[in-house]
Amino acid sequence: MRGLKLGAAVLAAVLIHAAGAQAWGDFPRAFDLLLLCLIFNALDGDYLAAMLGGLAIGLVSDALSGGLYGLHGFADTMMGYGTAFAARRLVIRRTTSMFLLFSLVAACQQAVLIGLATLLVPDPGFPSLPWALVKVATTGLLGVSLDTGAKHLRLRWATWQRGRASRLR
Amino acid sequence: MSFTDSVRTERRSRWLLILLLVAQLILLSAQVPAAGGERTRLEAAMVAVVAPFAHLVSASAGLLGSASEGLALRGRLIAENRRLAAEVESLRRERARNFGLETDLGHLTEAMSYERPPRGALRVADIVYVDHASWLQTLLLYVGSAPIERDQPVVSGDGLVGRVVLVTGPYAKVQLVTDRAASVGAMVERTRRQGVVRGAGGGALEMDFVPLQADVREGDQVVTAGIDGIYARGVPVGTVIEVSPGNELFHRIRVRPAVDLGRLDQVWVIEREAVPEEVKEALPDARP
Repeated sequence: MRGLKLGAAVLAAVLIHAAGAQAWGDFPRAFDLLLLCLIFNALDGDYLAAMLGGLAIGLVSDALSGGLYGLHGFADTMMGYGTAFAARRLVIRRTTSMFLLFSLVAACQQAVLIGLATLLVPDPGFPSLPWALVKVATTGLLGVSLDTGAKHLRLRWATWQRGRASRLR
Repeated sequence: MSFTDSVRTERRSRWLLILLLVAQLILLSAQVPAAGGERTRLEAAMVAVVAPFAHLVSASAGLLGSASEGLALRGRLIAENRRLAAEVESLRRERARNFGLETDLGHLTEAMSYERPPRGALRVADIVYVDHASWLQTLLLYVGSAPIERDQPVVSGDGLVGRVVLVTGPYAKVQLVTDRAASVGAMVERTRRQGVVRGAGGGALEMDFVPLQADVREGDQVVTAGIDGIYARGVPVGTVIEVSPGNELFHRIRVRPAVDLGRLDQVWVIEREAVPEEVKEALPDARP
């Protein structure tokens, strides 16, 4: 069930990513929806699921980008583990701490990608810093919005169910 | 879960992480010597899985776009039709002026026993996904059922786009000419001075190995030189936008790509036979 959910989320992310890239050429520089899937998948703190999910999502990202195949796979495996590690220690999930978590994972992913490319590829160049910062910020904002939205929906659903149960009684 | 269990799980996960990372690092390192060469089967499989979804989006967008264009742009199409009719007329006049030149050229090359290398047939391919702006840029094509091969050049009406680096089913992955890992044997059209064009990041190109004494000016056209065993000679690569002294030996030349990669929806793959591997191996320096 968890795998299916993740698969559906990744599929939706790929479709939105492709549509975004078609509509606006800079979309892939500004947003990383697959990274959001990775973080949400790892938020429950299950290390194995986080690492394997990260690896799979990274390989999908690699299919949609150039360079050495596996750069994102490596970085996202680390990010999956890192997110699960942080999620286990983050007891109270306030908006600010969640924003920091999402942004930090995005920043770390960029750093790992650059480090790995520098180690493996001669003269790999670097991504533009302003766009990297934009990506970090959009990941933080989108992540928090989705997280808050999901919490709100869950709450409404629970309230509706309670109301329905009391009416039936 | 008790504290001890939690610590044990964490320790086990850490080992698994290290194992996974080391395995991936080995796979990545194995690709490095072949950078620009063979791609992995895993990549082919993943592109084959992801590309159909990108194709679905691109086809839907194309359908929506053409429907709205049909409704809204009738006037523009009529104007374009008039402009094209005038252009056809002017080309007809030019053809009439050049009548016989091709036959003369044929006779002359025959007399010199010169044989032109085959130019290769052009094959139209739809773009299903393009990311030309990111650091790790890419282009995915739908090429249909007829097979194409790695290293075949990809061009548009304006000039060089890149080369095919991976073919999986009806899809192909293209290394863009603006990619930092790409290099093209090129020459300044006006002086025929040769060099190597590389991606410089940010969508720009740089031309290397042009000596300081060579005459290069802003506005010069750069075309493929046909010396790298991949690209045919004479395909526009870009225009020189800046020339400055790079180091003691070579100019630092910045080139604006001929093709606006953000406005592409279709490209042509040139079905050209690449130079055989054994010839390349015999002359390792022939390829930039």
